[in-house]
Amino acid sequence: MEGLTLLATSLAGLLGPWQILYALGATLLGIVVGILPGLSATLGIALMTTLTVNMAATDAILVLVCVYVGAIYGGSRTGILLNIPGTAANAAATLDGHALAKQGKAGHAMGISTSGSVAGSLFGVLCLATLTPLLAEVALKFQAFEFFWLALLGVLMSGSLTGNDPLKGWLMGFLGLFTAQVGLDGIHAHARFTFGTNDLAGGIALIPALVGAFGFAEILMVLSEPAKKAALNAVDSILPRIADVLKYWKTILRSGAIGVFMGILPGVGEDMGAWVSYAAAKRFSREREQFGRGSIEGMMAAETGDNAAIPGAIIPALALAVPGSAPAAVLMAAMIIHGVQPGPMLMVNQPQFAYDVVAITFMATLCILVFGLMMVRPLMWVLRVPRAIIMPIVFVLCTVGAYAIASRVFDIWVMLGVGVLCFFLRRNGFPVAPFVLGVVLGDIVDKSLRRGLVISDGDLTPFFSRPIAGVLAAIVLATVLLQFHAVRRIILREV
Amino acid sequence: MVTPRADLGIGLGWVAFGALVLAASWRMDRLESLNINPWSAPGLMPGVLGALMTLFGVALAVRAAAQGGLRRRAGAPGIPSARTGLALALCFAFAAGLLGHGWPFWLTAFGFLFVAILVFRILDRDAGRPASAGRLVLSTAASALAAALAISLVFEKVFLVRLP
Repeated sequence: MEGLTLLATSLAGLLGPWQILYALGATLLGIVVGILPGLSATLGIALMTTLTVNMAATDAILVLVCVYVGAIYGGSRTGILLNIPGTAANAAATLDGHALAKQGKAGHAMGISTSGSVAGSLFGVLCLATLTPLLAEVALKFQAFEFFWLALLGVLMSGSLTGNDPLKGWLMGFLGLFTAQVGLDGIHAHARFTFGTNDLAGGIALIPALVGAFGFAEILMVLSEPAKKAALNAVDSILPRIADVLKYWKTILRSGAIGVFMGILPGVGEDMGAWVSYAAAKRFSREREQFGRGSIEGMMAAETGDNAAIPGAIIPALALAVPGSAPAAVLMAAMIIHGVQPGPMLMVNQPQFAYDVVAITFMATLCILVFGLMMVRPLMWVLRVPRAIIMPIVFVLCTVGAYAIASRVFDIWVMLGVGVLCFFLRRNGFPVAPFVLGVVLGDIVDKSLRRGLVISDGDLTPFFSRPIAGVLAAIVLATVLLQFHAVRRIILREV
Repeated sequence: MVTPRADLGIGLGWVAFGALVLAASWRMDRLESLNINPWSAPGLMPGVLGALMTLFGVALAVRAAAQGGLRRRAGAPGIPSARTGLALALCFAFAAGLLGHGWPFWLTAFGFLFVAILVFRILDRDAGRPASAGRLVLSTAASALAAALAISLVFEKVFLVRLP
């Protein structure tokens, strides 16, 4: 009952004219970011974090969540029309979306995308409202031992699942964790890896590193390849069809549940939400042979799964301070910048904020419905702007984004350095998302390990013998060992 | 396309970096003079990460070697293309060279945008409709000026964010 009162208060707070304007503007911007190949939800949120740094916390988070939801939704447009997913989360939807477009049903595909996204997001919002307080209550029993394994699990899972090679993913995760160790340490304020410079003593700030990893590296990736001629497919009626929703209601519910679960898993994210939902839909479908050839059910499953993963990824960010995906990691960092401390104590100290996020995500869902119904055709002009114009403009935004939080020129250097490094590593098959998770979770891993060892006086037993810590440790070890088995098999086969 | 030889070189790079981090962590002050609990020494976590990067770097290098990375024709890491070099040079010239010298942000942004957009539009000419040189320069200048002014105004005046 108390939760409902808090939720009603949050919803009422979002009905002001400025809040509605922020929500509509940010969702539209998010859709544009999603439509443009090369720009990700993570970069959109990171850049908007700098723009909203002087706004009230709730308004800033409203803008960021709307960009997040809008970007994941908007990415399917490019996939449907050009067969290039706007964001990684839309790759699964592209399989059937583009096949439908080639059959002259691009508008129908966009309608399915809108209905699937809205259904998935609403399902996720419901889970966000109900599961966050429950998870936070369980997390109140967590000590340093559990937080150590949980944060490490996030980095390793992200490494296992976001690229094609877990070994490379884990190395990127460790690099991210190491990056977070630079600067004054969180317990004794001792300078680590600063080489006597004041700039490094302040640490490698998250936003410049993120803007470098997702912005500058991506700009270099795009500009280093010649532009390809892309033909836009014609668009028929874009209205979502209720008949599709009613016919595939089981698929929607299943994909929503899978999406939320994949979102909650630390470091996994929206793209896995879409792929696992798609695979499950194919497994249980009566029209299995249609998948990949323009299946409405497949498209619905992928779009429901990735959008349900958004609230799913926010749940652990709020309740445990361990984000479920790279965009959720930036969102969590933005919350900290605005004076909100996510984690188990959030529901004790700032319960209203948790319900604000629920209401904000609900509002973002309404906004994508509005834009899905009204703005499909006008937004297509974005795809006609040459990338030779867009990418340099995005670089200027990256420079401003890196500088604006702390007004330090050093942060621009960080953005450039991280960008070049991530560009080189990405070209060699190293995924960037585990690096981001590592940077965000590095402080928790470091403090939890040392605090745990101080509590146990150097005894490692509590890291394995406490019930939840033991389960998490087993999952972490299994995640690594199972992959190593596969690696060993590959080596044996090659030899 | 990532080749085993590239993986081998990069794996050895990880080993070297991990070993450096491990060595630096081992030599880091353990603050014994402050009588801290030795398990809270600041070098503990970086040391663990250094060891892990070394270990996993070895695994990457060994796997690449097993996949034929030691053979001469296994393919070295790719040399950046001229386009990449151009993009890097333009971006560094703007962000590291022009900014922070007291010039108005909109002016430096305009200069960078004009040059970068023009260069890449010329390089991408085949992908779109060919335009006359005069039209290309004029439309590029208009796009660059509009973007530079819009970014400056939105960040500085609307959202009160300081610009470099």
